[in-house]
Amino acid sequence: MTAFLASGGDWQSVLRRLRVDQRSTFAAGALISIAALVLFGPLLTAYKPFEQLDIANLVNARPSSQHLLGTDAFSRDVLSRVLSGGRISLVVALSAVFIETAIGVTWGMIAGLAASRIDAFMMRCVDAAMSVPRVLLLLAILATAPQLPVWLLVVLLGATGWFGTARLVRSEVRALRNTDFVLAARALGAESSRLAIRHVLPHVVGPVLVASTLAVGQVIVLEAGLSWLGIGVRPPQPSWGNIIRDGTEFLATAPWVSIAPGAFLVIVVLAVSALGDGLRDALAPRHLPR
Amino acid sequence: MRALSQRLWQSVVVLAIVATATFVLIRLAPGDPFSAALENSRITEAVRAQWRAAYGLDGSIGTQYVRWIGSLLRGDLGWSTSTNQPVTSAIAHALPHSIWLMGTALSIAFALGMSLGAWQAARHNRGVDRGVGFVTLLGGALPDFWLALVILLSGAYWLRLFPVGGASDPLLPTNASALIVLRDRLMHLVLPVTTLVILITAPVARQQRAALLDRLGAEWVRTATAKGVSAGKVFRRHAWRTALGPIITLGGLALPALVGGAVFVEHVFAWPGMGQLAAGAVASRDYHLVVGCAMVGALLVVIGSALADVVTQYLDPRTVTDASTPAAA
Amino acid sequence: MPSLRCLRLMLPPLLVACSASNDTSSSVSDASTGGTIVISSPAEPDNLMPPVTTALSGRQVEDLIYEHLANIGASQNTVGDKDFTPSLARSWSWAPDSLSISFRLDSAARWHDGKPVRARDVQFSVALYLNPASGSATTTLLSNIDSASVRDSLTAVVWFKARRPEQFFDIAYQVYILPSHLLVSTDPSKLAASPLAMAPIGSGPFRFVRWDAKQTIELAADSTGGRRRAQLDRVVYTMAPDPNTAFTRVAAGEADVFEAVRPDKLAEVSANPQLRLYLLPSLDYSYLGFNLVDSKTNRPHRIFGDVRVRRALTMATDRRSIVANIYDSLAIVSRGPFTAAQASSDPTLLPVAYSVDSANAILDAAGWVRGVDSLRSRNGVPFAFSIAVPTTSVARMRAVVLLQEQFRRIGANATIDQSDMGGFFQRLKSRNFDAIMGAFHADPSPGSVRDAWSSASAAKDGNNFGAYRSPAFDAQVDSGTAALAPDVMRKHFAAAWRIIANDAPSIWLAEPRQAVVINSRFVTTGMRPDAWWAALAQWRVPADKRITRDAPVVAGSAR
Repeated sequence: MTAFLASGGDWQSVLRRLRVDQRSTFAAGALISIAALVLFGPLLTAYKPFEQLDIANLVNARPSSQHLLGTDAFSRDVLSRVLSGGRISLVVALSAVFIETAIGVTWGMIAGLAASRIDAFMMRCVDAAMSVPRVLLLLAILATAPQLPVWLLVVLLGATGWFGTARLVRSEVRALRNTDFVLAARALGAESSRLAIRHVLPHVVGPVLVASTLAVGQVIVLEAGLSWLGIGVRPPQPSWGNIIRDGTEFLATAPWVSIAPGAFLVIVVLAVSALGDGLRDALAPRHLPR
Repeated sequence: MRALSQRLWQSVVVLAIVATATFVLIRLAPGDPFSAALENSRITEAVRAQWRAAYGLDGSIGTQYVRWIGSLLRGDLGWSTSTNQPVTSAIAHALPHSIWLMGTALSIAFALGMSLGAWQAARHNRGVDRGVGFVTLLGGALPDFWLALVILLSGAYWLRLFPVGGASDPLLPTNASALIVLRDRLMHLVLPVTTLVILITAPVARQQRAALLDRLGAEWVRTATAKGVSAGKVFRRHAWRTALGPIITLGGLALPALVGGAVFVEHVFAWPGMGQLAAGAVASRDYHLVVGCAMVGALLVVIGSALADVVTQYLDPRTVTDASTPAAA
Repeated sequence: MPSLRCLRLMLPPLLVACSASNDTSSSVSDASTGGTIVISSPAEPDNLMPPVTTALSGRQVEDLIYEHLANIGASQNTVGDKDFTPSLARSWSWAPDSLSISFRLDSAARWHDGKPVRARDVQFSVALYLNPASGSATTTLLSNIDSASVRDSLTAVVWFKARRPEQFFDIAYQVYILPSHLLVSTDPSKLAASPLAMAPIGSGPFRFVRWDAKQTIELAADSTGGRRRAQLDRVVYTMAPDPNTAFTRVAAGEADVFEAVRPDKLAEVSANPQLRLYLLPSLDYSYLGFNLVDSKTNRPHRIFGDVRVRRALTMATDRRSIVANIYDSLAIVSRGPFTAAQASSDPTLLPVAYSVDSANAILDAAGWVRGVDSLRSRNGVPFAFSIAVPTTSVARMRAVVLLQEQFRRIGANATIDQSDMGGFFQRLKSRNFDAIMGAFHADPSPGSVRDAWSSASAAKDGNNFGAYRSPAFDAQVDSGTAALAPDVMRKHFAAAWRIIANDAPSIWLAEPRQAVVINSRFVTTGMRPDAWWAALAQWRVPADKRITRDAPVVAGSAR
């Protein structure tokens, strides 16, 4: 504890520790490669992601030298679609998770540090928000704004996904409130905002990172579910989520269609989680019992 | 006691807000309860209006709301237009199936996740820790609808070990012995529960591991170690106990999943639970049933969050002092 | 049970042998009847109250529980009565002026609660169907029926307003006879909420046993009356909303019938000796419907108001490839608003030929010129439109994605406007769309085309969503429907199909065939295009092919 406080808030040392951590370096490398692939890959592929090459004879073709990941039910090149779909999936997932984490952490910290009356009010708000089915909310929005731009989709996903994080953070903060170092900081006259950022935030990073890294994968898949309601990415625009969903229909006969984007999805989630773990360790070196 | 009654009162307010919000939201969605069946239905607008009147869905949202509150006070949640029965009986039919499925899945996933997480924490950063972490994460990252179908096809079709979905064998004689019925139920449970466990274990195991590592580094744990308490005892007595916080919060968060948490899994496995009921209610714009399902969900949310708070306070000595001296806030 | 499954997987012949030996013991008591058929259904009925049932899955169950006065033949001929066979009515006779038909009921017919079926039940049922308060979708189809009366306890007389070729079809096909003694006190406007809607009591070959929501509907052969008993003992519907799951139940041997096999499963079906595939013509067609009228201004649609554009888009559509892509061999290219199973079908009508060049030429001539991005526009109006589609239909979602790409090739920018059924329906009813990916389920009557394409149906409540109006087309359809001679009828409809093809209010896409897979142990009979289950009561399982679930139900286990 004191070890961390001594080094506490020193972000440069955090970054340094992160850099020497092999696992984090590897994960960051993987993420950067995938980002580069989806950014520049579509420029290199021979086919356009929406191009239907031969809808009668080239349907669900096996992977071959012509089509490295095969073709889908519309005779489109799966590789081109996966690379092109990665752009939107990564942007949507990472930004939506960022938004939901930011709101969740802020809300949870305020509730956790505030007086019990305010805390109760804030947490009952979370209870209420959690209980309204997301589908309903989205359907109602759809009724008022049928054509939803992607940035609004991101905001929507973020704004409807932070409740769990808020609860986790709040319960951690409540548990930390009366620990000696917080009480000491308080006694020394630390402002609440400073107290929160300097002394409490580092301690809630653990559970938050765990929750957020898993949310990345969930959001990518959720986006595909939303297009069911007419929200989300519209065909023929690919996203990893909708490629997997369309491919699931042919799981038994053409598994490559859903496995290829699924593999990318899993790699991203693994890399983000490894980065999260590394970040957590770097933030709090005391976690490493020798 | 005062805290309890206060909490109860707050919960009632939450329920009321949720009911009102869903009541309004579902009516904003395009379509109406008597249109969803067939696009070429010859049912005229006049007939639909007549039905709306017959089922108490006519008039402005305000009048409908007042009418609905009136019947709610008599314990009547309204009539489900898509399943042709009172909302309460539709829910009473589906809820036990959900509890049976999700209850089993959550129990196994939490038991498994907590043991795995603790086991990992004790072997922090060793090969096994990394390996287990990788496997659980892989499970947690898979899309639910994809995983459900893979498990259904492999367990029920390619290997033919278990039945193809459903909650029970439709041909089971009604006079079958309790043992046979139980066996049948369990056989139907295996595949969907496996799917859910794979999906839910990951967050539990990871939270458990992270929380334990956090506590193992804490000062008072180290003090205990310095005092000569054995490592195993420190782990069990001190770290484990206090690390339960996030897990309990997670458990509280998982409780409402009993209702809508398994829509895709229920869909693929033809499980007649709340997920299918709620999804069907939304799709067919069955207004009263949607609100009914949301209220059951809200009930579980408030219970889950209250339980999580109570258990956390009970387990964590630090929050206990907090609660006994509210002046500290 | 699992051990049995393994056995069946590895050694199918052995299973036949052992079930045959099982059977010899029971065959002594009951040689010909017996067997359980398990039907794997992807949809649950909305209710089992015939006048207000909209789901086809409900109609299917009702056909086994309730009866019509007479049954339509496999020919699907709806004119006159010559292709109809007796059902609840043993015989009938026409009044000299043809304005009434008297039906003589089967005196042995009993409701499943034991009460006899009487002429007052017919009178009651017709009155209920005709009552606008019932909210029956069938009411509008019965506009030519005046009423029914009781001549004696077993003779009911149905009165018509005018002499029409299909008046027998109207009363026999559209109206189920319901038990008046159980419904007489029910509020007609709340039929779907009556207890009978969840637990029907009919007079048909099978009686209702139980309905376990989202899981099972069980029916059992009825032997209340002195009429011929069904061969099978039980009919069990098992519901699975996911079509993959529903099919897998049949493939794994847990169920016996699945009626909506997808093309990608065909190889699996033919490789499995226990499954047999039946291909039947259907009464469905799918189409891309253009909205000819702008719903906001009530003027011709900015793009589809021009017949040249509609024709060009039709030519630009490679329907053969689209149909092959979606349905493989399970559909044919649709040529107009009719299906091959209907008597009005015209096999000589050829679909518009696929030609991208002609399509481009027509659009150029119509003033839609290509811009820099190769998309067309005219006087600043971009050649862009949206296609509304319900996400609940896999086939239609696929069709839209295929069409979108083909339209792109001639410089049209089609966006896909997907929503769930509720949202889609709202768009149709409000006429607020550019184009829709529609599907139509006709009934055998050729006249049912009016429901979707006549000028009258273009009004607010009608199903002519794109507001196609052609007096010439209406006149031919009316003449065809009124014709008594089959060749006159066909001549008029042939003319009507040519008019509407020329006006191109829609691209008729596919006419799917029904692909029903049935376990090969059943001896099937009497499948009709509108109902493969029509003669289910005569299906049987030969004694040597019976499996465990075909064994007689132990007394007392079912009511």
